[in-house]
Amino acid sequence: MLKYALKRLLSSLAVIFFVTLITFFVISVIPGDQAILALGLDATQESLDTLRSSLGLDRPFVVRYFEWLVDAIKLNFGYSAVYGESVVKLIASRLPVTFSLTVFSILIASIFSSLLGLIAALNKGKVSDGIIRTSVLVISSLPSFWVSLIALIVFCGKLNLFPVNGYIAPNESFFGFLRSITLASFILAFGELALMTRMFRSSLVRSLADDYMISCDVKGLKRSRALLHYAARSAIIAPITLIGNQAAKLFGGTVIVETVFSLPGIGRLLLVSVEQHDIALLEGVVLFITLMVVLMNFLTDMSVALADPLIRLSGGEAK
Amino acid sequence: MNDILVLDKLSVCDDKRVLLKDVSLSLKENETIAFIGESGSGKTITLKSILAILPEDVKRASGSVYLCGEDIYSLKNSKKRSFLGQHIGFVAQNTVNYLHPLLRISTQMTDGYITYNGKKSKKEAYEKAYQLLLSVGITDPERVLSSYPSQLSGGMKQRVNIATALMMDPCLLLSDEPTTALDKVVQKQVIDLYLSLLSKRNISLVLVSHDLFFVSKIADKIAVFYSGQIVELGQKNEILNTPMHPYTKALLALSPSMDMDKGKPLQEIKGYISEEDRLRPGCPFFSRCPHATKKCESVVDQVFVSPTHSVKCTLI
Repeated sequence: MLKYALKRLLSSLAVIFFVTLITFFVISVIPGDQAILALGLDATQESLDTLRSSLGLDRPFVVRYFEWLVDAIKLNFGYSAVYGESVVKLIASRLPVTFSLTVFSILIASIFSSLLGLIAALNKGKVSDGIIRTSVLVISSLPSFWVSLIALIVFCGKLNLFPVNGYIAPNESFFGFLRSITLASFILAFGELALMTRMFRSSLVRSLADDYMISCDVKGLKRSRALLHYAARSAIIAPITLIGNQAAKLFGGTVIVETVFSLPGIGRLLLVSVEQHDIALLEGVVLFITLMVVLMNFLTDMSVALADPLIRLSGGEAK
Repeated sequence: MNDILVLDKLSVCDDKRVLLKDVSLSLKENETIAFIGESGSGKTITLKSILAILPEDVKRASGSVYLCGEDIYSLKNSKKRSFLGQHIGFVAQNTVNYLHPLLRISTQMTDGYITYNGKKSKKEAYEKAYQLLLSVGITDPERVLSSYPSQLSGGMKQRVNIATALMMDPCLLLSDEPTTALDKVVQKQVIDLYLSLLSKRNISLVLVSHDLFFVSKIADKIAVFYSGQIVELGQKNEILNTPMHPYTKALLALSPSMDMDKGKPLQEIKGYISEEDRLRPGCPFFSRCPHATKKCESVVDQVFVSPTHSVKCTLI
């Protein structure tokens, strides 16, 4: 297991390195000059050149990249031009929002989809199976900005159950914190529901049809044990991978919901940095999201290895 | 002596076809019955209908199965499971898939026992599994118990399945082609294992096998299956020494022997089990039978050659 973990860790480092290299390259070749952006179109060539050399933009790409990399390793990403704050501080202040949104929505989606998937699988081909499969598909197909707005009108406006906007930190008021992110978490979870329910259902259907379920019957095991210990045991592996991937996606992909609910998360930071050409911030945020994706993938691989002893035993070689 | 297993005119079908037609037989304590016949003749389906573990689209159409006097199809699912778990052992044909790939052998062998003896019996169950593995010829039970199925060879999985089936000291063991897909050396070991099991235990055995040598060593009774029916049923000697049904005769003549003429081609039964044969009211072997008469097409009689020996053939 340790050998497997080390192997995965090394390949993760490689991924991070290449993603930063590619982002750095893309940012440096896309149109838009930071100096012109900062000083305006009517700035003199002299002042532009001065700013460029003070920003280091006149030096070769490779030199700039490795300088940035060395700084990044020291956790120094420079200062955001828009906010005037250090990038690390900005990300750190936004992290709790995105983190709790991701965790809550994945939790909600996992609970609902595993239950629905189980019910659907046990009633394969019957009416309840059809109802579940259709309704999760419909729910997940609704555009999240629209659902968010409707939810805002109904739950915040009419019923006054949740605050209309704004984020409350958990150390201010834990209950307030829960209220401020519940609605957004549910809406994000709905988006994941169809895919995850389908995955739970299909992998359960497959393992329910496996021959070892017959041995469970012949051995006289209780249905609950056969389901939870035997069928679910092999059915859980594919959904774990999916949950990991979806969680990784949410770390950078909650921007719409964050915007509608005025939650200051990473997604909005990314949006601002792109809009305003805030290079230092953009690079920082992209690296952060990459780190999160890599971390989630690593955790996913570790969970799968925990659930599947054969991966552990083979040291992660292809089965 | 009590009947451990009784099949009473059991018929089984799926959406389109009749898979078993009027299968009747009975088995007493400590008796062994062997099912022989070509592939697709209904042997495995008979085993599965005895355990009421038929595939989804296959249904029992009529008839009954009594296991130790219990009408298995009248039991509710949960009761049926607990009955099977405590009294019947089953060794499936494809032993590889009957073990869960992600659970240790120890878990899979002991959980039935723990279900019926309480959580405290865990140690006892492990000890029993250990002893049973020793008795089926596994020399390092400890390693096997802590292994996953993929770490064991085919012969070992077969033994693990046999040992698992014996965990609750069943009165009846059903075994589906236990020697198929094993090499000759392991086959011999498995045959010896079954012989020693039968001599040491109070157990009845239903055995499906293509291996006539194995059958001749182990069986008390033989049922010859053809196209979903038992065409001949009798004591071992009756079937092997005085076969009456043309199909049984042909089947027995097929098995190659060491002293046969090497220049001659191996014998075969020409043709195959056709769909018309399955639906025919008369003899299912009609279209392949060398002795068939006009009458065989529409009528088939069950003839008792002796009290224990019955044949479905009009020609006798």
